[in-house]
Amino acid sequence: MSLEGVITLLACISTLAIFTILYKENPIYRLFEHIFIGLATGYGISILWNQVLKPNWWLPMTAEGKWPWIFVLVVGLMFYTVYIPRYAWMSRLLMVTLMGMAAGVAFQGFARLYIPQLTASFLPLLKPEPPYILFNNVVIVVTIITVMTYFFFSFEHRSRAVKGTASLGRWLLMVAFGAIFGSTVMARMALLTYRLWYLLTAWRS
Amino acid sequence: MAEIVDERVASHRRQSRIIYALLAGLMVLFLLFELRLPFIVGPQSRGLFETVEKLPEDKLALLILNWAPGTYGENYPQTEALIQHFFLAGKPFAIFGVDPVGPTLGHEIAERHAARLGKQYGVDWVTWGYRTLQLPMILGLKRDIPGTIQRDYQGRSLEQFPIMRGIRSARDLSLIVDVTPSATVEIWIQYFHGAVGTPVGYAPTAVMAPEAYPYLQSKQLVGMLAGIKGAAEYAALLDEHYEEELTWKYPPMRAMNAISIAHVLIVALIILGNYQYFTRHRRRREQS
Repeated sequence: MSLEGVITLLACISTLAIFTILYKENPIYRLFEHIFIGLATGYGISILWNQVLKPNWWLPMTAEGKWPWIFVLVVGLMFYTVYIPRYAWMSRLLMVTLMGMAAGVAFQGFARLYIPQLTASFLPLLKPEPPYILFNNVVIVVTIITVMTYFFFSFEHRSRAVKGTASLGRWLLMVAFGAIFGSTVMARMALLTYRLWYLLTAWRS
Repeated sequence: MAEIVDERVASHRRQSRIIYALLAGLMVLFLLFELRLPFIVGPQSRGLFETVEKLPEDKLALLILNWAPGTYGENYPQTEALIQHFFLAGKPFAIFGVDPVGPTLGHEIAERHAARLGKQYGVDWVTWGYRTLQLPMILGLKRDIPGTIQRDYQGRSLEQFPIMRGIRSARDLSLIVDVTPSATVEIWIQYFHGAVGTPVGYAPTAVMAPEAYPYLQSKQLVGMLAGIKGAAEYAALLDEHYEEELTWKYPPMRAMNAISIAHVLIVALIILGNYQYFTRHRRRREQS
């Protein structure tokens, strides 16, 4: 058998071994699950060194004479001072810097992500072109108002109008969750379909 | 009491096994035999298709592949559909990823179709490879592409490839398409569409698709391929627009047929389960 054939055979055995969980919990499934976790961890470490640290840090530092890159290691190690109470302030220094940066970036990102969505939710309800868009616009506007009412907690929902609006908002949320769950089912089926396709066709190549 | 619970658990397990067997059997049947089920192409897939068709040829499209074998069943056919379209429409593109495996898998697809369609590496397409998802990399990519990426996936300088001539910053990118099972598309919307107006397309797994609809509605996304259904829709559009034969390692149309029959079975079982629940409930009420 060729190397390609051995790889295909291994892939098929692994797939079937993982599928055995559908019958019941068993040692074969556990064995292959552990093999998978071990392989994934080893692969991750190899990628981290070969594709990230080696070309971007080690080689520039050792082969291209960019010796200041050594300070990156020193700065990185400062995170571990969190375990030594006397020097823990060093790790806080890094965390404060990172948190400040993340907050700034998040604020900028928020504006770019959500302001266009806010403006896009102001939709025409009178004579939109083409006319069938009216239905979409009404659904979007009604959903926004009712769902926002549902999540409005500044006062108690006592009035009938507010209660009814919030209740409609909750129902619309349920519809959205149903749609999301339907998509999740489709995604899982798609993954199963591919493995079945692989088991059926892998032997042809 | 414990015996009754054990019996119920055993009964549920038996029922589950029957359902799994039925599901697998039906899906295998629909995978083996090619059937033409009625099929409608949605506006999201059409939006991305039409955007690719209109791309300028002097700019570079960026195909970002942030997926791994875990979502092969959805992201592979999406990638294969997009790569075939870029080649057939003659639009130059670069393969890139912030997941280490995605660009390698995408490169393999591109190589296979390039050989078939007579396309040349470095002229019609290039693989930048994998870079870590860090803010300086994203900002660098926006301002200075050659300075940030520097080398292709094999360590060769990007300057030597004709496809990279004139490509300086995000303004030289005609389109960004993110094929991914995660929410990385928000990065490209924030830093590329939001900052310089680069059009962004999205090819997520079906799980992630509902979260992206607000971006489509606000036109922050030009289009979307939602899971395997999106890939099948794109395959149908390619079939409709191009005379060249399309080839698939994993045909999305056939996969979609198998998934459709699985959905029919699930809906039937939900109805059956509800019928059983309500009749049992009514019987108990009558007895009491």
